[in-house]
Amino acid sequence: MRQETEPGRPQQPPALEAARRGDPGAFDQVVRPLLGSLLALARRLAGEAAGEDLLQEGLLRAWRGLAGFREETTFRAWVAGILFRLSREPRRFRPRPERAAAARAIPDRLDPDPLLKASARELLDRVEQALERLPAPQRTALHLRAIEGWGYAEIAAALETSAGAARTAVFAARRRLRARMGDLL
Amino acid sequence: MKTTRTPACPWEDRVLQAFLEGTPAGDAGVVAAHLEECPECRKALDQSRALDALLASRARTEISEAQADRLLAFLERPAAARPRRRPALRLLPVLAGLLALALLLPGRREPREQVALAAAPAEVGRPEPGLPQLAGLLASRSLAVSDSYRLPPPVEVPSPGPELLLAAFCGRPDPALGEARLAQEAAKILAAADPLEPGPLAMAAVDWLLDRIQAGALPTRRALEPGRLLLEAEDEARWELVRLFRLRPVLLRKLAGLPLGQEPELAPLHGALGNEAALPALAAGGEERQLAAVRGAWRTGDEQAARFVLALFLKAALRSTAQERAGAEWVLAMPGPMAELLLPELARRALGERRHPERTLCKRLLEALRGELSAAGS
Repeated sequence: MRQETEPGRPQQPPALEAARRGDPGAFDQVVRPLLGSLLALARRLAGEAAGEDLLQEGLLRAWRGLAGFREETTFRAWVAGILFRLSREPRRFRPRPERAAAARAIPDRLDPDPLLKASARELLDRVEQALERLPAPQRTALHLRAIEGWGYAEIAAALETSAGAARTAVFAARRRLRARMGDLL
Repeated sequence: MKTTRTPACPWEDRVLQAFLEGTPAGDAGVVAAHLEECPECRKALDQSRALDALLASRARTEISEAQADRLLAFLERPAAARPRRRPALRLLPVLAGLLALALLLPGRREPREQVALAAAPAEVGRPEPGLPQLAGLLASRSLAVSDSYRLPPPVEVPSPGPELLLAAFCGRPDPALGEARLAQEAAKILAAADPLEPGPLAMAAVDWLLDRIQAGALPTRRALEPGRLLLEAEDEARWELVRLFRLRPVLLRKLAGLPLGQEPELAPLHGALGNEAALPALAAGGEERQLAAVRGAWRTGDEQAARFVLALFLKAALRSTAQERAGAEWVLAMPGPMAELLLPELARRALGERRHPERTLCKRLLEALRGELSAAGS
Protein backbone atom coordinates (compact mmCIF):
# COMPACT_ATOMS: atom_id res chain seq x y z
CA MET A 1 0.00 0.00 0.00
CA ARG A 2 2.87 2.38 0.75
CA GLN A 3 3.61 4.22 -2.44
CA GLU A 4 6.35 6.80 -2.31
CA THR A 5 5.81 9.06 -5.28
CA GLU A 6 8.48 8.51 -7.85
CA PRO A 7 10.45 11.45 -9.08
CA GLY A 8 8.61 12.79 -12.09
CA ARG A 9 5.00 12.04 -12.74
CA PRO A 10 3.32 9.50 -10.48
CA GLN A 11 1.40 6.68 -12.07
CA GLN A 12 -2.30 7.37 -12.43
CA PRO A 13 -5.27 5.01 -12.80
CA PRO A 14 -5.73 4.00 -16.46
CA ALA A 15 -9.31 5.27 -16.65
CA LEU A 16 -8.34 8.73 -15.46
CA GLU A 17 -7.96 10.21 -18.92
CA ALA A 18 -11.45 9.08 -19.94
CA ALA A 19 -12.80 10.48 -16.69
CA ARG A 20 -11.19 13.82 -17.45
CA ARG A 21 -13.01 13.85 -20.78
CA GLY A 22 -16.28 13.69 -18.84
CA ASP A 23 -16.99 9.94 -18.80
CA PRO A 24 -18.87 9.28 -15.53
CA GLY A 25 -18.29 5.53 -15.82
CA ALA A 26 -14.55 6.07 -15.98
CA PHE A 27 -14.68 8.32 -12.93
CA ASP A 28 -16.63 5.62 -11.11
CA GLN A 29 -13.97 3.10 -12.12
CA VAL A 30 -11.18 5.35 -10.85
CA VAL A 31 -12.73 6.33 -7.57
CA ARG A 32 -14.62 3.21 -6.46
CA PRO A 33 -11.56 1.24 -5.28
CA LEU A 34 -10.55 4.24 -3.17
CA LEU A 35 -13.88 4.74 -1.45
CA GLY A 36 -13.07 2.69 1.66
CA SER A 37 -9.92 4.58 2.54
CA LEU A 38 -11.45 7.91 1.54
CA LEU A 39 -14.43 7.27 3.79
CA ALA A 40 -12.08 6.41 6.66
CA LEU A 41 -10.25 9.68 6.09
CA ALA A 42 -13.51 11.64 5.85
CA ARG A 43 -14.68 10.16 9.13
CA ARG A 44 -11.35 10.99 10.70
CA LEU A 45 -11.76 14.59 9.55
CA ALA A 46 -15.45 15.17 10.16
CA GLY A 47 -16.52 12.51 12.64
CA GLU A 48 -18.65 9.41 12.17
CA ALA A 49 -21.87 11.22 11.56
CA ALA A 50 -20.73 13.75 8.96
CA GLY A 51 -17.99 11.67 7.32
CA GLU A 52 -20.15 10.31 4.54
CA ASP A 53 -21.51 13.76 3.76
CA LEU A 54 -18.01 15.13 3.59
CA LEU A 55 -16.95 12.34 1.25
CA GLN A 56 -19.97 12.79 -0.99
CA GLU A 57 -19.37 16.51 -1.23
CA GLY A 58 -15.66 15.91 -1.85
CA LEU A 59 -16.35 13.41 -4.62
CA LEU A 60 -18.72 15.81 -6.29
CA ARG A 61 -16.10 18.53 -6.17
CA ALA A 62 -13.46 16.16 -7.49
CA TRP A 63 -15.70 15.22 -10.40
CA ARG A 64 -16.46 18.82 -11.23
CA GLY A 65 -12.88 19.93 -10.83
CA LEU A 66 -11.20 16.98 -12.50
CA ALA A 67 -10.02 19.16 -15.35
CA GLY A 68 -7.95 21.10 -12.85
CA PHE A 69 -6.12 18.04 -11.53
CA ARG A 70 -2.45 18.43 -12.32
CA GLU A 71 -0.79 15.07 -12.29
CA GLU A 72 2.05 16.12 -10.05
CA THR A 73 0.69 13.85 -7.37
CA THR A 74 -1.52 10.78 -7.21
CA PHE A 75 -5.24 10.98 -7.79
CA ARG A 76 -6.01 9.71 -4.29
CA ALA A 77 -3.77 12.37 -2.72
CA TRP A 78 -5.56 15.02 -4.76
CA VAL A 79 -8.99 13.82 -3.56
CA ALA A 80 -7.68 13.57 0.01
CA GLY A 81 -6.56 17.19 -0.30
CA ILE A 82 -10.08 18.18 -1.35
CA LEU A 83 -11.52 16.41 1.68
CA PHE A 84 -8.98 18.04 3.96
CA ARG A 85 -9.74 21.53 2.65
CA LEU A 86 -13.48 20.94 2.69
CA SER A 87 -13.34 19.81 6.30
CA ARG A 88 -11.80 23.12 7.24
CA GLU A 89 -14.76 25.15 6.00
CA PRO A 90 -16.34 27.00 8.87
CA ARG A 91 -18.72 24.83 10.84
CA ARG A 92 -19.64 22.59 7.94
CA PHE A 93 -17.98 19.28 8.54
CA ARG A 94 -16.27 19.88 11.85
CA PRO A 95 -16.63 16.84 14.11
CA ARG A 96 -19.48 17.24 16.52
CA PRO A 97 -18.34 17.16 20.12
CA GLU A 98 -20.79 14.48 21.20
CA ARG A 99 -19.58 11.43 19.34
CA ALA A 100 -21.66 8.96 21.20
CA ALA A 101 -21.38 5.21 21.08
CA ALA A 102 -24.66 5.03 19.20
CA ALA A 103 -23.01 6.70 16.23
CA ARG A 104 -20.95 3.57 15.78
CA ALA A 105 -22.36 0.79 13.71
CA ILE A 106 -24.21 -1.80 15.67
CA PRO A 107 -22.30 -5.06 15.22
CA ASP A 108 -23.95 -7.72 13.09
CA ARG A 109 -22.97 -10.62 15.28
CA LEU A 110 -21.96 -11.06 18.86
CA ASP A 111 -18.22 -11.68 19.23
CA PRO A 112 -17.27 -15.06 20.65
CA ASP A 113 -15.43 -13.47 23.57
CA PRO A 114 -16.99 -10.09 24.23
CA LEU A 115 -14.99 -9.40 27.39
CA LEU A 116 -11.64 -9.97 25.68
CA LYS A 117 -12.75 -7.87 22.77
CA ALA A 118 -13.95 -5.17 25.12
CA SER A 119 -10.48 -4.44 26.55
CA ALA A 120 -8.93 -4.18 23.08
CA ARG A 121 -11.84 -2.04 22.03
CA GLU A 122 -11.35 0.21 25.03
CA LEU A 123 -7.68 0.69 24.18
CA LEU A 124 -8.55 1.49 20.60
CA ASP A 125 -11.23 3.89 21.80
CA ARG A 126 -8.64 5.67 23.93
CA VAL A 127 -6.39 6.01 20.90
CA GLU A 128 -9.30 7.30 18.86
CA GLN A 129 -10.13 9.87 21.50
CA ALA A 130 -6.50 10.98 21.68
CA LEU A 131 -6.40 11.19 17.88
CA GLU A 132 -9.46 13.41 17.83
CA ARG A 133 -7.72 15.90 20.07
CA LEU A 134 -4.79 16.31 17.72
CA PRO A 135 -4.68 19.33 15.40
CA ALA A 136 -6.24 18.47 12.04
CA PRO A 137 -3.00 18.40 10.01
CA GLN A 138 -1.27 16.10 12.51
CA ARG A 139 -4.35 13.88 12.80
CA THR A 140 -4.65 13.62 9.04
CA ALA A 141 -0.96 13.01 8.54
CA LEU A 142 -0.81 10.23 11.13
CA HIS A 143 -3.99 8.65 9.78
CA LEU A 144 -2.64 8.57 6.24
CA ARG A 145 0.74 7.27 7.38
CA ALA A 146 -0.04 4.76 10.10
CA ILE A 147 -3.46 3.54 9.03
CA GLU A 148 -3.46 3.97 5.26
CA GLY A 149 0.27 3.46 4.81
CA TRP A 150 0.82 6.42 2.49
CA GLY A 151 4.23 7.82 1.65
CA TYR A 152 5.23 11.27 2.78
CA ALA A 153 5.12 12.73 -0.73
CA GLU A 154 1.43 11.87 -1.04
CA ILE A 155 0.65 13.05 2.48
CA ALA A 156 2.40 16.30 1.68
CA ALA A 157 0.33 16.71 -1.48
CA ALA A 158 -2.90 16.12 0.42
CA LEU A 159 -1.97 18.63 3.12
CA GLU A 160 -0.47 21.08 0.62
CA THR A 161 2.82 21.14 2.42
CA SER A 162 6.33 19.78 2.00
CA ALA A 163 7.31 16.15 2.59
CA GLY A 164 9.51 17.30 5.46
CA ALA A 165 6.64 19.12 7.11
CA ALA A 166 4.41 16.08 6.63
CA ARG A 167 7.03 13.91 8.30
CA THR A 168 7.32 16.39 11.16
CA ALA A 169 3.54 16.34 11.57
CA VAL A 170 3.50 12.54 11.79
CA PHE A 171 6.33 12.53 14.33
CA ALA A 172 4.66 15.21 16.42
CA ALA A 173 1.35 13.33 16.33
CA ARG A 174 3.02 10.11 17.47
CA ARG A 175 4.80 11.94 20.28
CA ARG A 176 1.56 13.52 21.51
CA LEU A 177 -0.33 10.26 21.35
CA ARG A 178 2.41 8.50 23.28
CA ALA A 179 2.26 11.18 25.94
CA ARG A 180 -1.51 10.91 26.19
CA MET A 181 -1.68 7.16 26.20
CA GLY A 182 1.08 6.86 28.81
CA ASP A 183 1.64 3.37 30.11
CA LEU A 184 -1.37 1.95 28.31
CA LEU A 185 0.88 1.33 25.33
CA MET B 1 12.52 19.30 18.10
CA LYS B 2 13.88 18.29 21.45
CA THR B 3 12.25 15.33 22.98
CA THR B 4 9.94 15.82 25.93
CA ARG B 5 10.24 12.12 26.61
CA THR B 6 13.34 11.97 28.74
CA PRO B 7 15.35 14.92 29.90
CA ALA B 8 18.09 12.50 30.89
CA CYS B 9 18.70 11.38 27.30
CA PRO B 10 19.92 13.91 24.78
CA TRP B 11 18.68 11.91 21.78
CA GLU B 12 16.04 13.59 19.78
CA ASP B 13 12.73 11.87 19.37
CA ARG B 14 12.76 12.36 15.61
CA VAL B 15 15.91 10.27 15.31
CA LEU B 16 14.14 7.39 17.01
CA GLN B 17 11.02 7.79 14.89
CA ALA B 18 13.07 7.91 11.71
CA PHE B 19 14.76 4.71 12.90
CA LEU B 20 11.32 3.22 13.51
CA GLU B 21 10.31 4.02 9.95
CA GLY B 22 13.49 2.57 8.55
CA THR B 23 14.81 5.91 7.31
CA PRO B 24 17.39 6.96 9.94
CA ALA B 25 19.00 10.32 9.36
CA GLY B 26 22.44 8.91 10.21
CA ASP B 27 23.89 5.48 10.75
CA ALA B 28 21.22 2.98 11.80
CA GLY B 29 23.88 1.00 13.62
CA VAL B 30 24.60 3.91 15.91
CA VAL B 31 20.94 4.19 16.80
CA ALA B 32 20.71 0.47 17.42
CA ALA B 33 23.72 0.58 19.67
CA HIS B 34 22.27 3.47 21.63
CA LEU B 35 19.03 1.59 22.07
CA GLU B 36 20.92 -1.28 23.63
CA GLU B 37 22.17 1.05 26.32
CA CYS B 38 19.29 3.47 26.84
CA PRO B 39 16.13 2.05 28.43
CA GLU B 40 14.31 5.38 28.05
CA CYS B 41 14.78 5.46 24.30
CA ARG B 42 13.97 1.77 24.05
CA LYS B 43 10.72 2.35 25.87
CA ALA B 44 9.85 5.32 23.65
CA LEU B 45 10.55 3.26 20.54
CA ASP B 46 8.52 0.33 21.83
CA GLN B 47 5.62 2.65 22.57
CA SER B 48 5.79 4.11 19.07
CA ARG B 49 5.83 0.61 17.62
CA ALA B 50 2.87 -0.41 19.77
CA LEU B 51 1.01 2.69 18.72
CA ASP B 52 1.60 2.05 15.04
CA ALA B 53 0.59 -1.59 15.45
CA LEU B 54 -2.57 -0.56 17.25
CA LEU B 55 -3.50 1.91 14.55
CA ALA B 56 -2.72 -0.58 11.81
CA SER B 57 -4.88 -3.18 13.56
CA ARG B 58 -8.00 -1.09 13.06
CA ALA B 59 -10.35 -2.87 10.75
CA ARG B 60 -10.19 -1.32 7.31
CA THR B 61 -13.24 0.68 6.44
CA GLU B 62 -15.26 -1.58 4.21
CA ILE B 63 -17.77 -0.09 1.92
CA SER B 64 -20.71 -2.01 0.54
CA GLU B 65 -21.73 -1.84 -3.10
CA ALA B 66 -24.93 -0.13 -2.09
CA GLN B 67 -23.03 2.47 -0.10
CA ALA B 68 -20.61 3.04 -2.96
CA ASP B 69 -23.52 3.41 -5.36
CA ARG B 70 -25.09 5.93 -3.06
CA LEU B 71 -21.88 7.94 -2.79
CA LEU B 72 -21.49 7.99 -6.55
CA ALA B 73 -25.16 8.44 -7.33
CA PHE B 74 -24.52 11.96 -8.57
CA LEU B 75 -22.72 10.50 -11.59
CA GLU B 76 -25.90 8.85 -12.80
CA ARG B 77 -27.92 12.00 -12.78
CA PRO B 78 -28.46 13.71 -16.13
CA ALA B 79 -26.87 16.96 -15.07
CA ALA B 80 -23.82 15.33 -13.46
CA ALA B 81 -21.47 16.54 -16.16
CA ARG B 82 -22.22 20.16 -15.58
CA PRO B 83 -21.96 22.13 -12.39
CA ARG B 84 -25.10 22.17 -10.38
CA ARG B 85 -26.36 24.38 -7.68
CA ARG B 86 -25.55 23.04 -4.27
CA PRO B 87 -28.71 21.46 -2.87
CA ALA B 88 -28.39 23.13 0.48
CA LEU B 89 -28.27 26.47 -1.25
CA ARG B 90 -31.28 25.97 -3.46
CA LEU B 91 -33.33 27.34 -0.67
CA LEU B 92 -31.11 30.37 -0.19
CA PRO B 93 -33.45 32.75 -2.00
CA VAL B 94 -36.33 31.35 0.00
CA LEU B 95 -34.47 31.70 3.27
CA ALA B 96 -33.45 35.20 2.34
CA GLY B 97 -37.04 36.06 1.50
CA LEU B 98 -38.26 34.56 4.74
CA LEU B 99 -35.73 36.46 6.71
CA ALA B 100 -36.60 39.71 5.03
CA LEU B 101 -40.30 39.05 5.67
CA ALA B 102 -39.64 38.28 9.29
CA LEU B 103 -37.68 41.45 9.71
CA LEU B 104 -39.68 43.84 7.62
CA LEU B 105 -43.20 42.72 8.47
CA PRO B 106 -43.20 42.50 12.26
CA GLY B 107 -46.50 42.35 13.98
CA ARG B 108 -48.56 41.34 10.95
CA ARG B 109 -51.53 39.26 11.94
CA GLU B 110 -52.15 37.31 8.77
CA PRO B 111 -53.58 33.83 8.62
CA ARG B 112 -50.71 31.39 9.03
CA GLU B 113 -51.23 29.64 5.72
CA GLN B 114 -51.16 32.87 3.74
CA VAL B 115 -47.95 33.94 5.40
CA ALA B 116 -46.42 30.54 4.76
CA LEU B 117 -47.28 30.60 1.10
CA ALA B 118 -45.96 34.09 0.75
CA ALA B 119 -42.68 32.78 2.06
CA ALA B 120 -41.82 31.18 -1.23
CA PRO B 121 -41.95 34.06 -3.71
CA ALA B 122 -38.34 33.73 -4.75
CA GLU B 123 -39.01 30.30 -6.26
CA VAL B 124 -42.14 31.22 -8.17
CA GLY B 125 -41.70 31.57 -11.90
CA ARG B 126 -38.03 30.71 -11.63
CA PRO B 127 -37.89 26.92 -11.84
CA GLU B 128 -34.68 25.29 -10.73
CA PRO B 129 -33.06 23.36 -13.58
CA GLY B 130 -32.83 20.14 -11.60
CA LEU B 131 -36.20 20.28 -9.96
CA PRO B 132 -38.92 20.32 -12.59
CA GLN B 133 -41.23 18.39 -10.33
CA LEU B 134 -40.86 20.87 -7.55
CA ALA B 135 -41.43 23.75 -9.91
CA GLY B 136 -44.59 22.05 -11.14
CA LEU B 137 -45.69 21.43 -7.62
CA LEU B 138 -45.16 25.01 -6.64
CA ALA B 139 -46.91 26.28 -9.74
CA SER B 140 -49.86 23.96 -9.18
CA ARG B 141 -50.31 25.45 -5.76
CA SER B 142 -50.71 28.90 -7.28
CA LEU B 143 -48.12 30.45 -5.06
CA ALA B 144 -48.66 33.89 -6.47
CA VAL B 145 -47.12 36.73 -4.59
CA SER B 146 -49.71 38.92 -3.03
CA ASP B 147 -49.13 42.63 -3.51
CA SER B 148 -49.40 43.11 0.20
CA TYR B 149 -46.30 40.97 0.69
CA ARG B 150 -44.05 42.63 -1.84
CA LEU B 151 -40.87 43.66 -0.17
CA PRO B 152 -40.06 47.33 0.14
CA PRO B 153 -36.74 48.37 -1.37
CA PRO B 154 -33.88 47.36 0.92
CA VAL B 155 -32.56 50.05 3.19
CA GLU B 156 -28.96 50.79 2.21
CA VAL B 157 -26.63 50.73 5.18
CA PRO B 158 -22.86 50.41 5.07
CA SER B 159 -21.76 46.79 5.44
CA PRO B 160 -19.71 45.97 8.53
CA GLY B 161 -17.24 44.10 6.31
CA PRO B 162 -16.77 40.38 5.68
CA GLU B 163 -14.33 39.74 8.50
CA LEU B 164 -16.60 41.17 11.17
CA LEU B 165 -19.57 39.35 9.70
CA LEU B 166 -17.75 36.03 9.47
CA ALA B 167 -16.67 36.35 13.09
CA ALA B 168 -20.23 37.21 14.10
CA PHE B 169 -21.75 34.30 12.19
CA CYS B 170 -19.19 31.99 13.79
CA GLY B 171 -20.24 33.01 17.28
CA ARG B 172 -18.06 36.01 18.01
CA PRO B 173 -20.41 38.95 17.37
CA ASP B 174 -19.23 42.52 17.48
CA PRO B 175 -21.14 44.32 20.27
CA ALA B 176 -22.15 46.99 17.76
CA LEU B 177 -23.91 44.38 15.60
CA GLY B 178 -27.32 43.51 16.92
CA GLU B 179 -29.11 40.33 15.96
CA ALA B 180 -31.56 42.16 13.71
CA ARG B 181 -28.71 43.80 11.85
CA LEU B 182 -26.92 40.48 11.50
CA ALA B 183 -30.08 38.93 10.12
CA GLN B 184 -30.32 41.72 7.56
CA GLU B 185 -26.72 41.14 6.53
CA ALA B 186 -27.29 37.39 6.33
CA ALA B 187 -30.26 37.97 4.04
CA LYS B 188 -28.19 40.21 1.77
CA ILE B 189 -25.32 37.74 1.64
CA LEU B 190 -27.58 34.78 0.89
CA ALA B 191 -29.44 36.66 -1.81
CA ALA B 192 -26.17 37.56 -3.52
CA ALA B 193 -24.35 34.25 -2.95
CA ASP B 194 -23.18 32.17 -5.87
CA PRO B 195 -24.86 28.82 -5.24
CA LEU B 196 -22.00 26.96 -6.92
CA GLU B 197 -19.22 28.49 -4.90
CA PRO B 198 -20.87 30.26 -2.01
CA GLY B 199 -17.70 30.78 -0.05
CA PRO B 200 -17.25 30.61 3.71
CA LEU B 201 -19.18 33.79 4.46
CA ALA B 202 -22.39 32.56 2.82
CA MET B 203 -22.05 29.12 4.38
CA ALA B 204 -21.50 30.70 7.78
CA ALA B 205 -24.56 32.88 7.18
CA VAL B 206 -26.65 29.78 6.41
CA ASP B 207 -25.42 28.07 9.56
CA TRP B 208 -26.07 31.13 11.67
CA LEU B 209 -29.54 31.49 10.22
CA LEU B 210 -30.36 27.85 10.94
CA ASP B 211 -28.98 28.20 14.46
CA ARG B 212 -31.28 31.14 15.07
CA ILE B 213 -34.22 29.17 13.69
CA GLN B 214 -33.33 26.34 16.03
CA ALA B 215 -33.13 28.73 18.95
CA GLY B 216 -36.60 29.94 18.12
CA ALA B 217 -35.41 33.45 17.35
CA LEU B 218 -36.77 33.33 13.80
CA PRO B 219 -40.18 32.22 12.56
CA THR B 220 -39.64 28.50 12.30
CA ARG B 221 -42.94 27.48 10.80
CA ARG B 222 -42.57 29.79 7.84
CA ALA B 223 -38.92 28.95 7.41
CA LEU B 224 -39.76 25.27 7.18
CA GLU B 225 -42.51 25.67 4.63
CA PRO B 226 -40.17 25.04 1.67
CA GLY B 227 -39.06 21.80 3.29
CA ARG B 228 -42.66 20.75 3.76
CA LEU B 229 -43.33 21.37 0.08
CA LEU B 230 -40.22 19.44 -0.90
CA LEU B 231 -41.43 16.47 1.07
CA GLU B 232 -44.29 16.16 -1.35
CA ALA B 233 -42.10 16.45 -4.43
CA GLU B 234 -41.05 13.62 -6.70
CA ASP B 235 -37.93 11.46 -6.74
CA GLU B 236 -35.41 14.01 -7.94
CA ALA B 237 -36.43 16.56 -5.39
CA ARG B 238 -36.50 13.97 -2.65
CA TRP B 239 -32.96 12.99 -3.41
CA GLU B 240 -31.96 16.60 -3.08
CA LEU B 241 -33.94 16.86 0.11
CA VAL B 242 -32.16 13.95 1.69
CA ARG B 243 -28.83 15.48 0.82
CA LEU B 244 -29.97 18.81 2.14
CA PHE B 245 -30.94 17.35 5.47
CA ARG B 246 -27.83 15.27 5.77
CA LEU B 247 -25.90 18.49 5.42
CA ARG B 248 -28.22 20.38 7.69
CA PRO B 249 -29.17 18.30 10.70
CA VAL B 250 -30.84 21.30 12.26
CA LEU B 251 -33.49 21.25 9.57
CA LEU B 252 -33.85 17.52 9.98
CA ARG B 253 -34.55 17.97 13.66
CA LYS B 254 -37.17 20.52 12.83
CA LEU B 255 -38.74 18.40 10.16
CA ALA B 256 -38.81 15.43 12.49
CA GLY B 257 -41.60 17.35 14.12
CA LEU B 258 -43.71 16.54 11.07
CA PRO B 259 -45.81 13.39 11.21
CA LEU B 260 -43.57 10.50 10.22
CA GLY B 261 -46.18 7.82 10.50
CA GLN B 262 -47.22 7.83 6.86
CA GLU B 263 -44.89 5.95 4.59
CA PRO B 264 -44.78 8.50 1.75
CA GLU B 265 -43.37 10.95 4.24
CA LEU B 266 -40.99 8.49 5.79
CA ALA B 267 -39.49 7.43 2.46
CA PRO B 268 -37.52 10.57 1.63
CA LEU B 269 -36.11 10.66 5.11
CA HIS B 270 -34.52 7.22 4.96
CA GLY B 271 -31.21 8.60 3.79
CA ALA B 272 -31.18 11.02 6.64
CA LEU B 273 -32.14 8.54 9.31
CA GLY B 274 -28.54 7.56 9.94
CA ASN B 275 -27.97 11.00 11.30
CA GLU B 276 -27.71 10.90 15.05
CA ALA B 277 -28.87 14.47 15.23
CA ALA B 278 -32.37 13.23 14.53
CA LEU B 279 -32.45 11.07 17.63
CA PRO B 280 -33.55 13.68 20.15
CA ALA B 281 -36.38 14.89 17.95
CA LEU B 282 -37.71 11.42 17.32
CA ALA B 283 -37.22 10.44 20.92
CA ALA B 284 -39.24 13.45 21.95
CA GLY B 285 -41.86 12.72 19.36
CA GLY B 286 -43.90 10.35 21.45
CA GLU B 287 -44.47 6.65 21.29
CA GLU B 288 -46.89 6.69 18.41
CA ARG B 289 -44.51 8.48 16.03
CA GLN B 290 -41.57 6.31 17.08
CA LEU B 291 -43.51 3.17 16.50
CA ALA B 292 -44.62 4.47 13.12
CA ALA B 293 -40.99 5.09 12.21
CA VAL B 294 -40.06 1.56 13.25
CA ARG B 295 -42.92 0.11 11.25
CA GLY B 296 -41.85 2.10 8.20
CA ALA B 297 -38.23 1.03 8.49
CA TRP B 298 -39.22 -2.55 9.08
CA ARG B 299 -41.67 -2.70 6.20
CA THR B 300 -39.27 -1.21 3.67
CA GLY B 301 -36.39 -3.42 4.81
CA ASP B 302 -34.02 -0.47 4.99
CA GLU B 303 -31.26 -1.79 7.22
CA GLN B 304 -29.73 1.59 7.93
CA ALA B 305 -33.07 3.00 8.99
CA ALA B 306 -33.81 -0.09 11.05
CA ARG B 307 -30.48 0.18 12.86
CA PHE B 308 -31.08 3.83 13.49
CA VAL B 309 -34.46 3.22 15.00
CA LEU B 310 -33.06 0.40 17.08
CA ALA B 311 -30.40 2.72 18.41
CA LEU B 312 -33.16 5.14 19.27
CA PHE B 313 -35.04 2.53 21.21
CA LEU B 314 -31.95 1.32 22.98
CA LYS B 315 -31.29 4.83 24.15
CA ALA B 316 -34.88 5.15 25.16
CA ALA B 317 -34.85 1.81 26.95
CA LEU B 318 -31.78 2.77 28.92
CA ARG B 319 -33.52 5.86 30.16
CA SER B 320 -36.15 3.50 31.51
CA THR B 321 -39.21 5.66 31.61
CA ALA B 322 -42.33 3.60 31.39
CA GLN B 323 -43.43 4.85 27.99
CA GLU B 324 -40.02 4.36 26.41
CA ARG B 325 -39.64 0.95 27.90
CA ALA B 326 -42.98 0.07 26.37
CA GLY B 327 -41.59 1.16 23.00
CA ALA B 328 -38.51 -1.03 23.39
CA GLU B 329 -40.64 -3.98 24.35
CA TRP B 330 -42.76 -3.40 21.30
CA VAL B 331 -39.61 -3.79 19.23
CA LEU B 332 -38.89 -7.04 21.01
CA ALA B 333 -42.20 -8.35 19.85
CA MET B 334 -40.98 -8.16 16.27
CA PRO B 335 -39.92 -11.37 14.55
CA GLY B 336 -36.41 -12.82 14.01
CA PRO B 337 -34.22 -10.55 11.89
CA MET B 338 -35.01 -7.46 13.89
CA ALA B 339 -34.19 -9.31 17.09
CA GLU B 340 -30.91 -10.52 15.58
CA LEU B 341 -29.96 -6.94 14.95
CA LEU B 342 -30.78 -5.98 18.48
CA LEU B 343 -29.14 -8.86 20.29
CA PRO B 344 -25.42 -7.96 19.99
CA GLU B 345 -25.99 -4.39 21.03
CA LEU B 346 -28.02 -5.43 24.04
CA ALA B 347 -25.32 -7.88 25.03
CA ARG B 348 -22.69 -5.19 24.76
CA ARG B 349 -24.71 -2.82 26.88
CA ALA B 350 -25.52 -5.50 29.43
CA LEU B 351 -21.83 -6.29 29.80
CA GLY B 352 -20.68 -2.72 29.88
CA GLU B 353 -23.38 -0.95 31.81
CA ARG B 354 -22.37 -0.18 35.36
CA ARG B 355 -25.58 1.27 36.71
CA HIS B 356 -27.72 -1.45 38.19
CA PRO B 357 -31.22 -0.60 36.89
CA GLU B 358 -30.03 -0.20 33.33
CA ARG B 359 -27.96 -3.33 33.47
CA THR B 360 -30.95 -5.19 34.78
CA LEU B 361 -33.12 -3.85 32.00
CA CYS B 362 -30.57 -4.84 29.36
CA LYS B 363 -30.31 -8.33 30.77
CA ARG B 364 -34.06 -8.68 30.86
CA LEU B 365 -34.34 -7.58 27.24
CA LEU B 366 -31.52 -9.91 26.33
CA GLU B 367 -33.22 -12.86 27.97
CA ALA B 368 -36.43 -12.06 26.14
CA LEU B 369 -34.56 -11.89 22.85
CA ARG B 370 -32.78 -15.17 23.46
CA GLY B 371 -36.10 -16.79 24.16
CA GLU B 372 -37.52 -15.38 20.98
CA LEU B 373 -34.57 -16.48 18.91
CA SER B 374 -34.60 -20.01 20.27
CA ALA B 375 -38.33 -20.19 19.65
CA ALA B 376 -37.76 -19.02 16.09
CA GLY B 377 -34.94 -21.59 15.68
CA SER B 378 -37.06 -24.47 16.87
